[in-house]
Amino acid sequence: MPAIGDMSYGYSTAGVADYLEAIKSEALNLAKEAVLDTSEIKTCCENEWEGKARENFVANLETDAKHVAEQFDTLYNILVSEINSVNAAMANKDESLINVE
Amino acid sequence: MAISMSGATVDTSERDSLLQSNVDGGVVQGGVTANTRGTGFLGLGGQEATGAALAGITESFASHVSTAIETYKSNVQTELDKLQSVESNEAFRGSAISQALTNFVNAVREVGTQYLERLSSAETQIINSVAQAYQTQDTDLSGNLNSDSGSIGISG
Repeated sequence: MPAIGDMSYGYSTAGVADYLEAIKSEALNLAKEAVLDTSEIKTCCENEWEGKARENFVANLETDAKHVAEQFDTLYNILVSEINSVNAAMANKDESLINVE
Repeated sequence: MAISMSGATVDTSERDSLLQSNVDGGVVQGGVTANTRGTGFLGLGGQEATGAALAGITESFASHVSTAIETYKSNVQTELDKLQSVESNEAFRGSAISQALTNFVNAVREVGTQYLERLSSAETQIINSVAQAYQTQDTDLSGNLNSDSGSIGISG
């Protein structure tokens, strides 16, 4: 996988969109998958630990892992919103500077 | 907090709000965008508070689950570390874009790190629970031995 920092996307609407998508597909989604993959812990608990405490632990582990993954998505959406806002503001400024009529 | 650059202003209040919210025992407080700060994470807070051993925990299980948790934490941390390459990117010029990227990376890593710290705490509680159980067992054995000693006339 190429390092995101090495990517040479141009500073254009398409370049920004591609860059944001790369962040999501090559970094964020992999982090989410790692967080959500609690299978080894869950299997270990189910094989060797009985009782209500185990049920609570496994249930809460899955709930919290899912919640963390959702937070990653929310933070990504905030990033996209912020960058789009900056781009829109800069585009407006450029337009006024160029004085397009 | 607002980020400004060349007349472009970005409102970061949503992200700031996210980082201030809490989770209590796996139940989200303050909406779905809360982080993992709080108590009772993974349902083991009660046992930690009372110092009681967790029922059904064996030394073998504690060892195996500790290994599983460490592997899991390592996998998550590896992916979180990869996000660092986003922060150092040179794809865009402009402090607002760079700041937005830095904030994103820091926020994701903070949420992930808090989660792993909570998981480490749960792991420690499970391991300590075995020690607690053995300690209790030793106390019981000691009590029995004293009692037996008394019955055969060698106890002071």
